[in-house]
Amino acid sequence: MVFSNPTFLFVFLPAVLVATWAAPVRLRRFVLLAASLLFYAWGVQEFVLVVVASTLADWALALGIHAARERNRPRLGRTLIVVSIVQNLGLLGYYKYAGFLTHQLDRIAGVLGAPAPAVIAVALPIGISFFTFEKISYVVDVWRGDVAPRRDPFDVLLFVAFFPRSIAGPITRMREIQADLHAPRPNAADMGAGATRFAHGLAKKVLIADQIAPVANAAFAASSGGGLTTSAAWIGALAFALQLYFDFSGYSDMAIGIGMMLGFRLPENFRRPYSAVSMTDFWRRWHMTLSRWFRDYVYIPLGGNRHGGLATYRNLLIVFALTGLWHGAAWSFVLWGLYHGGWLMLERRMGWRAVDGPVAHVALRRAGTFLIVLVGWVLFRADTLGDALHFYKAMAVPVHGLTPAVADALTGQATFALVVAAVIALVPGARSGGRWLAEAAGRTPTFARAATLGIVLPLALAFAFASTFSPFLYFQF
Amino acid sequence: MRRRLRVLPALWLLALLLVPIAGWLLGARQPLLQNRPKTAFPAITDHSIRDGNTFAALDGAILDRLPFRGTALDVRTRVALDVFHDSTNPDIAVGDGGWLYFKPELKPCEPGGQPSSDPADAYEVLARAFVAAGYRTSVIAVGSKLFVHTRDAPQLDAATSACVAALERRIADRLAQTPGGLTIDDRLRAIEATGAPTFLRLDSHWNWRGRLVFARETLDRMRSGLAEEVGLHAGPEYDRPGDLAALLGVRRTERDRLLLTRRAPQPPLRPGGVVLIGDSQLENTLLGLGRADNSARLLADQPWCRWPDLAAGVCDDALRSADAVLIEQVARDMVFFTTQCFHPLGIAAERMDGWRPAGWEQLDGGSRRLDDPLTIPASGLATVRFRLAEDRADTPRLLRLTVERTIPQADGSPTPITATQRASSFVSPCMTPAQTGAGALLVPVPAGARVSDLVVELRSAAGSRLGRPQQLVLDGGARAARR
Repeated sequence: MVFSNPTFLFVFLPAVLVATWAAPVRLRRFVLLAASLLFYAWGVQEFVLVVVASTLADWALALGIHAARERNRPRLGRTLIVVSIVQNLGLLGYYKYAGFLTHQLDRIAGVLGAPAPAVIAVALPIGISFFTFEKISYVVDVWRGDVAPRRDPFDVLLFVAFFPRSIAGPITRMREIQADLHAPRPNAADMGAGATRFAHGLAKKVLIADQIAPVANAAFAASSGGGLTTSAAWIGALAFALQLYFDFSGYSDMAIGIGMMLGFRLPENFRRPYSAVSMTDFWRRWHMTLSRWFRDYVYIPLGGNRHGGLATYRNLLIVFALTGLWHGAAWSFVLWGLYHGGWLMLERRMGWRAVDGPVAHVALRRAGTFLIVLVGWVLFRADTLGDALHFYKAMAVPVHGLTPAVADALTGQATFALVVAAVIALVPGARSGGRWLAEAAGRTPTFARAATLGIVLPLALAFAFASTFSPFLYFQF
Repeated sequence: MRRRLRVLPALWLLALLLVPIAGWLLGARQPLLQNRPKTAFPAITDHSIRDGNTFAALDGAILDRLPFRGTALDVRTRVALDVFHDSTNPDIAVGDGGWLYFKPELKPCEPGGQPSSDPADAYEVLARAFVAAGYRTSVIAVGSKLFVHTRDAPQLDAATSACVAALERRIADRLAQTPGGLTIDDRLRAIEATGAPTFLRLDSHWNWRGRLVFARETLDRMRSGLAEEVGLHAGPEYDRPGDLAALLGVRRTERDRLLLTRRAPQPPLRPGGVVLIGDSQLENTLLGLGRADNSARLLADQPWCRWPDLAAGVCDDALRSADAVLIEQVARDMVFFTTQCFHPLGIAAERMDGWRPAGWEQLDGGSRRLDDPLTIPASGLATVRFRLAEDRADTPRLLRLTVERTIPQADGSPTPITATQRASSFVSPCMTPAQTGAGALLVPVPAGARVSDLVVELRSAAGSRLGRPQQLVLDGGARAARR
């Protein structure tokens, strides 16, 4: 189930909201846990049992780690943390990367003329990358002493499975929601703000991202089939940049909004990333919970920037290679990560990070940063490296005209959505639009909230309800 | 009070989310919106719950039943259509003035959509065959709305549009010159040129003007002057829902007129005397045709077959006993026509008389002239070429290979004898792909084609036997055996 699915919107979500609000406070977490496990099982069926078993293992290991510290047994603690990380990364490695790895071994064996291992094909359970990182963060935080282990296994299960962010984040730390896990108590202000936030996110997803998607899809399909013109390439890249932002940030808004309505404060994930003045700034605005996870659990343990320039650059490259790999099991993702890592290195070397103090030439820096990010998204979206190269070639070497498929995809609605998206995404600001809408005070935000709830929300719900309409011209028996 | 106001957005959201369920509890139900039965709820068992398809089916079943989805579709389509002039369905193109067009009309010139044989040849062969078999014949390929009502048509792919337009033109021209062929496209275009449309704005079918032209023409072919005799005329206006609008998810209607008759024909048409084979254009025009008081339908006693029924053999007996046949198909389905026309051709051939011997040679292991029936060798394959006195002719010809012997399979049923044409300068239109038992393989040779270019591979169990070929010239004359 995804948040814009009619079954989720008109059956699951209202049922969960009513059941949670109506349930006695001490029972709410069980209602939420049951709903979360049903939500996840809807998409992955039996794999939910693997998640439950792995989470219970982490719960037990965290208790063991804490006990080891209490009894001054650091070696036992280290062993247990290693076991936890290995079992988490092992699961992630098997389900997400086994196919990729065996495919690479097969290719190498082919080149060397050696016997090749069988290529494994494993179905990828949705959300595995997200909740794996959350489980690791929990156990590591317990090991570091940053958070106390939860005695109640249901708390840890709910932490991992909590449906608003189980499949696409925000990647949450235990300490951020632990106060609410045992007895969620949504207050009136949060419920209201959460509804507004949810409405905003749904609109971003179905009214903007879904309308723009066909343009991006047409351009990238043309890059593999041939016939991609320069204008189509740039329009397609822009369309994808905006589609990805509105889809992902819209989803985060919906997750945060549902969380608020249920009594949880989930962390922010986006802060106007396309207004960034440098790549360093970009990664402090884009998918913030992922970049902070890598900062706290990979970059800093590797040494961060504490051991000189070369070590810092090495650490940056490792982090961003892993960031790329986290997004997908393909070389194009790794290259995309290294592309970003390379830019961060360059900014650090040249003093262009622009994150400390006032910045000159803001508009130029924003445009330049957006251009760098836009070019990187081509690697992220292309099906193969070859397709990405074709796309870049079309962008760089003028080919006149407009690819017919892209022209067809640029309907009135898609063009309107593109323009609106570009204006919204490129307008600078301190807070994300969702936060401003939900939290800002004053006449303008109040009017905007009323318009969002009164006009935009019903329209977005109608669009979501009308999706997947696929009729036949004549009756099919 | 302030606290209540703060929670209002959440209550409003919840209220909106509960609208469909509340509607369902109050008795609202979702109609059939997608022209198919609603997805059934899957059985939830210990086994099925582990299958992702179960949840997908559950999703589909819920979606097909939540009320007010039609309202949501209407809202979405109104925004797309009325505000942006966009279509919400990839098969529908929006033209000027809200005119809707069906994009699969371009299918015959799209990759993977091209007919296997020349559709003009196929239409011609079928029309001539029924004439030869003694039927009063009307074979028509209905021109697409995109190429008849052109003034409001949207800009679609120019090359593909030109290709389909040329193809339909060629079919129409061929049918105009073919005995038994019928085309009304030019008449419709002449009406269109006066500013009066012949198609409906929101529908893929003719409006009353187009239907009137078609009805007049086809009735007069069933019996000369029949349209005048029954007083065919355009009746009162009514609101007609558009099928193309329905594909967009909205129910919109437009004004159209009924076609009515004033009198019953005298003498009445013989029951079963006319077989009507066609799709919804024919159905919309002729099947309900009758008097205003609905007391009698003009063609109530005449069998009517959809194309799938014909392909399944449901109409064979009706076709055998009829005196007249009307075969109609929309031009966009010409691929289907070219793959299915062998079936009615076979029925028509049963009545044909005047077959003359033809020659052939077997090409396996070197060319060898045959004067006798052909027995399939141990390899199961015999490759043949035909020899006729005139290698090329100005009219189509029909070659017939009678099945003399089949070899039973393990279950006792006869092993089919299949015929496949090797690539050559032309494709035999409506060629019988396979035959069993008492029947014949028919191999049409279109006008202007060289018979010597035609090489056919015959496959079956060793020992199967085909009689020496016979030919019939489809010169427009009747060649029917006495009945």
